[in-house]
Amino acid sequence: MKRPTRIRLIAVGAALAVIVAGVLAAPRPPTLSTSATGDPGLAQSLADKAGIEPGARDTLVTAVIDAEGVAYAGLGADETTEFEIGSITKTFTALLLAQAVERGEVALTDPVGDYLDLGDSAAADVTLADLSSHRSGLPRIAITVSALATSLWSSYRGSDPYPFDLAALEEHARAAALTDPGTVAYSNLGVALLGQALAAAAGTDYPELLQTRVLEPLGMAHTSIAVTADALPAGARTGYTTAGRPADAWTMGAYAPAGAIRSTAADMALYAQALLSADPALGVDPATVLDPQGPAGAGPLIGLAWFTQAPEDGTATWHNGGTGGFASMLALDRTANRAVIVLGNTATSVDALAMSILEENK
Amino acid sequence: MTNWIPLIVVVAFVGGFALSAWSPRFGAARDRLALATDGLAAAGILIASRALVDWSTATTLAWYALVLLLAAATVGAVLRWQSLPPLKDPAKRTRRAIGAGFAATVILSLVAVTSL
Repeated sequence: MKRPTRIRLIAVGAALAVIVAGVLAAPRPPTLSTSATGDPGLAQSLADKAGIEPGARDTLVTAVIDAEGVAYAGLGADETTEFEIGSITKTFTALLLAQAVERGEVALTDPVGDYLDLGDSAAADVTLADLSSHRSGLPRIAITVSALATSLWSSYRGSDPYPFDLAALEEHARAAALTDPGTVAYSNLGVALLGQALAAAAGTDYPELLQTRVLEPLGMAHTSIAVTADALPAGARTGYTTAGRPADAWTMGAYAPAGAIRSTAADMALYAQALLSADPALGVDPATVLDPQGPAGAGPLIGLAWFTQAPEDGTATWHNGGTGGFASMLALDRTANRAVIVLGNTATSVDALAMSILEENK
Repeated sequence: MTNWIPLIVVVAFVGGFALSAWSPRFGAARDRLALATDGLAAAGILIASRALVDWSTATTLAWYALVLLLAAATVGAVLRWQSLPPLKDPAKRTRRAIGAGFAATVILSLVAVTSL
């Protein structure tokens, strides 16, 4: 059938419009920046090792802390660049727990139900120590329908999977069943409850508690926590998923004690130095959080939030972090008095990268 | 494996529109309403896929392939448009209109949620 020229022109025009729009709207995953900052040798090492773990990279920064001081290097970022540190936040919550015990505000064996409205649920009887060492038996995340739906949706959208207030967090805990209490099972829900319980015991909120008891004493002036998206400063940095899709910032609402801190390599170096040197500004002996606790045997060695490598794997005490758009790792070699921090603004893990740098700088 | 599911869904919708526009028989649109609905769904799912598919450096090529397929389907749709009746069975006008309206609402909502 012969078609009029007008129809053919419309068809060609429509196809061209689709192609132009498709090219303009094409997804553009990031690539690792080649703009090096800081120590040139360390920056080169960072670039060489960035491919250890597969996934998108954009910017990276590292800090190597030893007796001689701190060496920084970055690719597209430097020691003043802000990153979400994700679950390394849990180590701050653990430190707040140790401080609260030292102050007599709480005891490690206190049930969390003493501080939060958990009714007669199973979660109410879990101790603060078990929340911190992931031995509570609580699930990793809440298993209510709305929480699971939010988690599933956010995994696709790269959005914050924890937009819940304290009432919702308590409801999640009341609804949760405990699975094999006493064995280690990583729980964001558990550490979120711990942080809120500590805030309640101190008569304040978690951000204020963190600010006054950890960030200010350690001089971490460029570290912050915003528990709602509205509280983030305008233009707050965001990152990319492992596949390179833009991801939203995670502020985490009442779950903030499990992963919502934003910091810089310079501030994290201050934190690492304080832990290695037992800085009195910590308020407690860091061994109280770093040393493995609980029964030895199967499962990872874990203190208050901090993991310790099994002897056959190495000597590092560490915690990593991951949000929708960021990854982080802080590894301490307490024997050698060294530490390595790696922060990235994609969700691609930096664990192996940090461990490799720690080994390289022995 | 689950990472590939969103991409497979996009391929199915864009491929379905291409069939709808070009196929002489199997999968061919029976009327303009079906053709328009297929086109809207394909374009909408492709737009939403920017947020829902893991576009790593390697799979970005798949994006351009899908754009070309959508463009080819659009050519077929324009050429076929005048040969199709607005509705194949006017007796089902209400049911078809409700179905198309619902589909359009779902697609546009998906686009809005993933793009705004």
